[in-house]
Amino acid sequence: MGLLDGKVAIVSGIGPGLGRHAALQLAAQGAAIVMGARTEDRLKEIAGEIEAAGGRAAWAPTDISDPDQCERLVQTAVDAFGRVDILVNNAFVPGSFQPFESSDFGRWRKVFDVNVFGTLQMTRAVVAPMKAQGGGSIVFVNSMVIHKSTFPQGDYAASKGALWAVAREIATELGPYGIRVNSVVPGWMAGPSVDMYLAWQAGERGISEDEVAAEIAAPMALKRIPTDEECAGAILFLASDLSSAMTGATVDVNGGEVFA
Amino acid sequence: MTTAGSRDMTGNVALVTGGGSGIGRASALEFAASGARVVLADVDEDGGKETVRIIEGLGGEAAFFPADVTDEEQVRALVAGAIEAFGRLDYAHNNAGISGPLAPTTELRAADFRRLLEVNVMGVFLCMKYEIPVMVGQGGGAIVNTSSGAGLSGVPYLPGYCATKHAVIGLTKSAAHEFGGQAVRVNAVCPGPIETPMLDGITAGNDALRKMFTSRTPMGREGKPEEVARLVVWLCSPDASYMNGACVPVDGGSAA
Repeated sequence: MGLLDGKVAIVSGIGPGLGRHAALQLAAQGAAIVMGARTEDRLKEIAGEIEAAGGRAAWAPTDISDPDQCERLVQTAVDAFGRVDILVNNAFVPGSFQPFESSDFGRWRKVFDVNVFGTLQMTRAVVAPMKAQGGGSIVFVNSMVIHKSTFPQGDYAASKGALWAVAREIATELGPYGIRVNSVVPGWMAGPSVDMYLAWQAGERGISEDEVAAEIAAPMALKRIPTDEECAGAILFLASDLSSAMTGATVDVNGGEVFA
Repeated sequence: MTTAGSRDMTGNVALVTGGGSGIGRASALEFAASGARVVLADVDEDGGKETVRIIEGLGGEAAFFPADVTDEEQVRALVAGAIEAFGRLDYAHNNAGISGPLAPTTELRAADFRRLLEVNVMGVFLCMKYEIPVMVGQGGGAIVNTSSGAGLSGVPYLPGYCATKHAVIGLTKSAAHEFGGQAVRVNAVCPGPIETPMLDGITAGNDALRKMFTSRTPMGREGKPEEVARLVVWLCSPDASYMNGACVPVDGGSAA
């Protein structure tokens, strides 16, 4: 018995990290997984991984900034598995990392096109089938940047802030239909990109990778960098009926780096 | 489109692989802005067609060919298609490439390493193999291959990418020796961290890593695709008539 037996989950944004782990964990709990991302090779690979583990998977190359492609992804789910119970909005683009003063607002608009409007297009595409089925769970993957600013990335932070606000708004609107809408807010997530950072920092500063990791984890109550698997666990929880009374919630997954 | 001086490429034809996004798209636009007609290739059809739309919107001329540079038959057909579409081939920017996943040497999967070799090395080799005879036949031409800062020095967690980008430099230098005497110049560009979908993929949302990339450049910022594109088009232009076999960093000073 899995937490998600008989359910169908759409996951947008399948890369090497969180999206993949979310898809694998939802599949391991019995959900059929429908994946949308721009890189087709990756979709095929993860679908193969899910099927090899005995799960069910379908996919469609998807750029969420195109509303037709969002509709197509939902149609893929309906055609393959007959319903849509869960949407994990994981797809995003990073910001341009330009200082505010010299920022190109055209770039900001592009970041908003994907992170805000793309995610909203994807979300709107599942509302009708979820309403018809009498409910569903939508999980927005947000970012600790909404609580804590470290780098010049106003475009990304602004887009995630907007997404956080609108997730709560949508939760209010869709609650009466049994559709729950929650946000998962990861901070640092251990994985290959953090490992590369540790290796580089350690090499440059002549200290060990463990020391660099300890510096990163110092502000965290748990004193260790959370993994992307752990973050996927929070997504699974919000996707499942274990969180059946939760909507509009913001779940921080950051090892205790900030308490919201 | 307006053109000027020795950058005027009116009547000439440029081929750009990986033209569906990032540096390839920017160089396609830059070639078009210099008056060249552009043949774009990419495995990403949507991106390639979008680049054509942008060029046409600016009054330029471009054609998209879906092509996988790892497939010799597709590369042969691509070069033949370019000649069929526009009658000649003067410049080629062999730019299609992938980063592969981040992993230390001990953990990189052999399948991922092979894929890197196929796209980044075999792809550039096959493109040059079919482009150069056309250029020699026409009496000259210019090729620019996209290497990387990772083609000049090591980068942790990208051993396959790094190896293939070093290999691009080897291919570039050999071809420069072989065909310089026949007026085909072959150079490479070595971009540092550039604001592209590839860099998005490598850093995978890790803000600290992204920041680390830029902090390693003396200029303290990411480059823009068009800042690489302008070098590519300059290397193809008559202004660069004595540049051959050069592997030019465009990285805000990282390699310095």
